[in-house]
Amino acid sequence: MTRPQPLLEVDGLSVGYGIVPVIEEITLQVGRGEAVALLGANGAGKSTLLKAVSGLLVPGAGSIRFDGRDLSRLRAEALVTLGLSHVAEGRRIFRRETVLDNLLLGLYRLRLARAETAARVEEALAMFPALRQKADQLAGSLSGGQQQMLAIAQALVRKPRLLMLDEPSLGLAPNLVEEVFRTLAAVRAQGVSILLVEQVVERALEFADHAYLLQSGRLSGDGPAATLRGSEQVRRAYLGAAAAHAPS
Amino acid sequence: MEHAAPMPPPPAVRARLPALTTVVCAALIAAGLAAALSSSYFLMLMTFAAIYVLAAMGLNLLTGYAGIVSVAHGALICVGSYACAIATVRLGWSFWPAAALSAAVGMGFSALLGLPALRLSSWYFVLITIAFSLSVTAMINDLRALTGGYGGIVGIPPPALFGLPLEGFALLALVAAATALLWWAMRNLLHSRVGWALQSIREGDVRAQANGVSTARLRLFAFAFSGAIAGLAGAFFASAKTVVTPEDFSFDFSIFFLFVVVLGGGARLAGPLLGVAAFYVLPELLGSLKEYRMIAYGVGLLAFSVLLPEGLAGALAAIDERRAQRARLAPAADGAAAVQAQPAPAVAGMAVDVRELVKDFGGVRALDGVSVNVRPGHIHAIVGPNGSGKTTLLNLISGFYRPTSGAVDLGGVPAHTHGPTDIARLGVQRTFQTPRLMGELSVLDNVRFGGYVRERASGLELALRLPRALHESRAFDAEAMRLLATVGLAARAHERAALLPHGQQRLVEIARALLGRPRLLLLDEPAAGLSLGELDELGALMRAIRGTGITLVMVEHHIELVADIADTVTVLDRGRVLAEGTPQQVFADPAVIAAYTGGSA
Amino acid sequence: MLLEDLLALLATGVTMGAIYAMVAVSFNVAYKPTNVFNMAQGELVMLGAMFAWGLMTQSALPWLVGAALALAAVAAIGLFEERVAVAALLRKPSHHHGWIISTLAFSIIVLNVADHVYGTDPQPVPPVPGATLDTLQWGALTFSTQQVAVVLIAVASIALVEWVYRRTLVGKAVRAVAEDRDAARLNGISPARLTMTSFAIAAAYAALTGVVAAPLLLASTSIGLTLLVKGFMALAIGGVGSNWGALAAGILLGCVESLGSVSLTPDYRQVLLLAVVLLVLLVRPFGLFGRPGLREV
Repeated sequence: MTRPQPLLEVDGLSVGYGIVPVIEEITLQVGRGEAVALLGANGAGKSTLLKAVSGLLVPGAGSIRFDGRDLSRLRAEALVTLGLSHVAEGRRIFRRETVLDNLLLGLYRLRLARAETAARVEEALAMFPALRQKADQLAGSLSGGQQQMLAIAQALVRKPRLLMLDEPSLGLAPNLVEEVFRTLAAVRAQGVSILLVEQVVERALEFADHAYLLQSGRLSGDGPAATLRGSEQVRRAYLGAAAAHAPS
Repeated sequence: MEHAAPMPPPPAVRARLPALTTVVCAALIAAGLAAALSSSYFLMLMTFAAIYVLAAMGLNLLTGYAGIVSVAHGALICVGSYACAIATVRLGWSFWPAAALSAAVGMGFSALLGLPALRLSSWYFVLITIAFSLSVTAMINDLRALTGGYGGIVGIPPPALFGLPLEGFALLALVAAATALLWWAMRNLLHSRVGWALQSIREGDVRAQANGVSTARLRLFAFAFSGAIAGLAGAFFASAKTVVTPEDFSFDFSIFFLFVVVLGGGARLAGPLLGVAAFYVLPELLGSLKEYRMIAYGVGLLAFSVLLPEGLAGALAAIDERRAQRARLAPAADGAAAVQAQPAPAVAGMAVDVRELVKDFGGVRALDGVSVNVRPGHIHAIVGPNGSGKTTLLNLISGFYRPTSGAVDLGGVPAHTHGPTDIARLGVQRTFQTPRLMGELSVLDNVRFGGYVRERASGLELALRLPRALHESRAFDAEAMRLLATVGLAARAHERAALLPHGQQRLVEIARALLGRPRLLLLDEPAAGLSLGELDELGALMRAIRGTGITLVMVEHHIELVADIADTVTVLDRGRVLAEGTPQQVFADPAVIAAYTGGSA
Repeated sequence: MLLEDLLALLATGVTMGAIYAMVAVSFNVAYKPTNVFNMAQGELVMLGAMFAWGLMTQSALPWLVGAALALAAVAAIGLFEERVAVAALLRKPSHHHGWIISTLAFSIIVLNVADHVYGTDPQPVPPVPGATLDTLQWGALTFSTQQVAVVLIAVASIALVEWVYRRTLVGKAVRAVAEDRDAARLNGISPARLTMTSFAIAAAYAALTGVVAAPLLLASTSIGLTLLVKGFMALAIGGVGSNWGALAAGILLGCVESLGSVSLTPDYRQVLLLAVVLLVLLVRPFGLFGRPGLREV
């Protein structure tokens, strides 16, 4: 199976905190319109990878290219204008602002005309009807699922070409997890590329086209998502040898 | 346990020059004393320099070591000076009781100013001290009957010893002796649990409280100590001048001491001496700078605080360190080989009984009715996906959070109303996700800090090296070395902790926790960032710790490690207990596999 | 005490309180995106007053022109301070309270340079256009129109600051940076740029305080330190971050100070105020209107 033309290319990326390396020599791609899952146990370095791509962390070595352009010298706040949005782990919305203001803050950098701003916000609210009802409430008063929807909506108003999500289903009840994935499917249907870090592995593999496995800061494998589903390799990456023999 | 103490003589590689700081300080002192003998101008200059060093050392404890910036030091010296002047001239006391009064007055004012700052961010204290400095100058002018107003108080007598007045060089010798005595006492104190505790609060309370330090009392001590030194210095100041007037104590005088401490090198014993030499004696000799001195001070303070926050003493120490690194052919702690590895002696492990624990943060429920029973002497692992509430549970057990509802019993004692300091004193030690070591201190000192709750020698005994303090310090050093050997780091005991890689810092933290002889040890992700080899060592270490009877509760993501060593595993998911049992039971549980891989849930 | 005397004292107290509140609010503006308490804020007020004297009295420029130039100049100095004394330290997490020393150092430089340039004599500055320093009698109340102007400017400017934070996207972006720096960056909001803007605006606001207070206090290099302390007191009692709280606390302080002048010398009043602040902080460490922050483990 051939993969589409790459939109994001990460090549030999190493990132560390101080002298401690967290990820080492990671090479991966996300193709145009492709959904890629990044899997691995806690502490494997998935979030670190996303943060390096979005400019929150400065890489020690390697290169990051987005649509052929080198990102490694750009600050996080400058990247959003290029069409790259990162939904951070833990529903990092602005809790002390209203839902509407959160969406407007998502557009802060783009300095759009008033009509275009209104249209974008309207589009986002149409996609998340639950948010429309609460547009004037403080984001901190939303339920966990709605906060996650808001975090995604806040990234989507910028109409990104690549959406990176860090554990969007974290701490959500199963029915809400389904809702998150339905949303992501709708986003993908619009042609947006997706790089997804997710703990709900099976669900992520069902969703994605391609997946990379991360173990202790290094890539331990990759392949089409369909062939990785239910594989021993994936379970090992999460539970280690302890569960390798357990009945499923 | 003295049999482990004698170490082989250091190998020839380690024979090196004395520290540059020592050489520079010795040269400065010698030059100062020689100059003082040569002319009365130099004698006066050196006497005041010595008084300023004495005073600045007091401020160094507060600002340098404990990290609390004060602009009141000059005002406290002023208060001390006037106390001495009033007692000697108006009341006819002799110098020594008057000096004691000065110290007491300085201590009292300093502690009073510090009271509100005990609970507040440190910049509040800066402004309170500015307000105090302005008030003191104003009040001196106002309380004319007592202070003589602008005219001041004239005729303060010199100190006398055996009926002989100490004037001229004798006064300098007295001040120098007092400074040397303070230097010695502070060196002792700062290389003890009190000093480590002081430095541990510089970056917040968490680490100190986890070690059983009552941070409010410690801060109060720092305020009182620096105030007492300022008061005493004030008495010498008054005596050396024989006259005190309000003019001597402008606001700039307070700024001067802050300047000397920061630029000389905060949290370094030699800092005040270097600071006074470079920024008082030198400008006085140059003379012409006087008019622009405050501007130069300001520029210097800004430049140093941004570019060289370690100050002059820090710069000298850095040169020393680089020299030492170049000279070191092999890691030089061969003596460590003689140290026996030995974990803590046997203790009775503590049972942990967590009942129906609920914790809300704002509107988010992090823990939703969690009950866990940890049996004494077991390794109990708490695992679960991110955000499942593991670390929250650990923080509730160790007292950093108060539960919304529910109860925690530690060894049968209801503990959920206790703060972290009290919990530590019950015999609970913990480590942190990111190791919280004091990077500037040696590895050994970091471990020694763990003994805080067990050491009995008081601050006074420690400062004066009285027998109990000496004996305790030797015993704890030996025990700390054995614990370092246990975690395999004895060879690096005398290095700066910051130089160790992350994984080893974590092991140092475990050694530190063990020195507190806990009955319960809480570990927050001990395996994070460890290499495979280090993981095996960690597993062996934890078994050895369990072997001594200590109860271990660990939050851990590394499932293989958990499966390997845990007796019991509790799986949390979204703030609730999903499963509990032996590792074999738990990791075969379909619900657990689902929670981890998100399969058919 | 006669009613007239009491009312006159209260009028003075409210005016002084409004000035203290403005200093406190200028602290808040710089504090919001950075958690840095700018120790030089008092000297920036002083510069506003001295520049106003130079431009309006010495160079005889019209009030509005002089005020605009003074504000712009002090804003530039505030921006310069942010670059040399704050930005570099905020990047170094290990010295996270280094800014206390560096901004204090900056304030020492400003004060002593100003002493050299201007000397220490108090200088007159013209009142706000349309206002005078002459006293008016209104029933039992004695006041000057400049006092009224100061109070009105304080209330209006605090309302404006609140409006910016609550109603404009830039203000909300500053609040977003204060709430979650990294999340703000991922949304394209630049904390560095907002910090620079906030420092410049805080400096300009301090300068405005100096310009309108100078006709009453006289412009002299010694007012900076006093106003730093009084502004801090208003801030501490009102609660850090609370602008209306600062106004209430400032007026409270101003009135305590003013009423205290009946039986106390200025020096005793200073001690009285310090005692009030220490007492409030002991009982309510986060001020009357402030909120404690969450502790991190």
